[in-house]
Amino acid sequence: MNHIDQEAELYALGMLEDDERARVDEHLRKCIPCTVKVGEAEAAVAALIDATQARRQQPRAARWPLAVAAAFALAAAGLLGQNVILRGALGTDGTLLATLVDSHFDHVQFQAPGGAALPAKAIYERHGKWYEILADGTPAWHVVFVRPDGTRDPAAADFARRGAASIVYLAPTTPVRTIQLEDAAGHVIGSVRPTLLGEREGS
Amino acid sequence: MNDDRELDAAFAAHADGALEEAYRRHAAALQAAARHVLGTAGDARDCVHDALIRVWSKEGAYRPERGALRAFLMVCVRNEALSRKRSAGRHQASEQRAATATPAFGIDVAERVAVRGVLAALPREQRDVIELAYWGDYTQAEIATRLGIPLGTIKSRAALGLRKLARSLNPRDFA
Repeated sequence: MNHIDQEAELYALGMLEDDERARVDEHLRKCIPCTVKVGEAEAAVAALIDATQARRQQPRAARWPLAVAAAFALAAAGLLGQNVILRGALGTDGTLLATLVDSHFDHVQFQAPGGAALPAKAIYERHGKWYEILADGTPAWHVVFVRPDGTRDPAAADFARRGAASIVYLAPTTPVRTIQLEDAAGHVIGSVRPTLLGEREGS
Repeated sequence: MNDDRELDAAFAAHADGALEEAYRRHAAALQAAARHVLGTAGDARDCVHDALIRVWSKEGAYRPERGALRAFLMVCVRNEALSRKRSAGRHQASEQRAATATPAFGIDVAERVAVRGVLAALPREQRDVIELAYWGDYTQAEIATRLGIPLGTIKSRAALGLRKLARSLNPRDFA
């Protein structure tokens, strides 16, 4: 095997199949420059893993001041109560709330027309610049943006499939009022209404 | 083996007690890495044990030139977890979660949002590939198929994206 190049990052990110990874391992046994390169990629992935875990691992004593400050910040902005997902977590440590305030992102769970929660969520930038839709183990769904004037803007076709966690990132050029999940026949499976900065829920 | 560098050298040399000390010192981070992929604490613990034994049994698998032992082990554990998940049938856990009809993304979404700010610095095409690899657990070939992009392009986007992340991700920022 020649020197590895981009395989260093693929290896560290877990993008290689077992046999491909075994070939890299074999090469690393006799190649120090490539070993150094893989080590650098591994350090980046380890930092990414640490970053995703950090908020879980913070001791409660360190979280409270931030959580309280976050609650005041949200209250001042008139945004308390806008998010239905976080209620279960707020009573314990406020971590998710603090994350929300820190990040300028929000997320909301899709609900069926009858009100049942669907295994799908939208993460969005609160200025409305981008939306990321996640669905878990669903039939094929289409994502449709509905603008404030009621016009529909098909955003992603056949987005999710059964048994797979699916992600789609969308950056609409016009404001979005509602995001709908629809089946192939155009029936609404579920919807969310993102609340952007400066808006109040229900406005 | 008072500091990490000393432990790293001892582990590379297969010194007595180095495996046990590495486990004692890094087990929490390793289990978190495995749990991110496998979902349950029990599966994660088994995965960590197997990965450590696998690494320890292969002489020369870790050398100090590779960098920090902790990062090396975290990637070993993550790759072991991915291998298990793929061989057990992709996204089986996702199917089980969907069948319960309960919200499926609780803490994962919080994690994603926390890291989103870091990833936002990447160009969109690189970010898509990194996200599908890291959160979707897809291989390079699967990502190429999903995005309808040649494999070589996926490789270069992943490499460029991770190199940029390496420059911007400082673990101390998240401590």
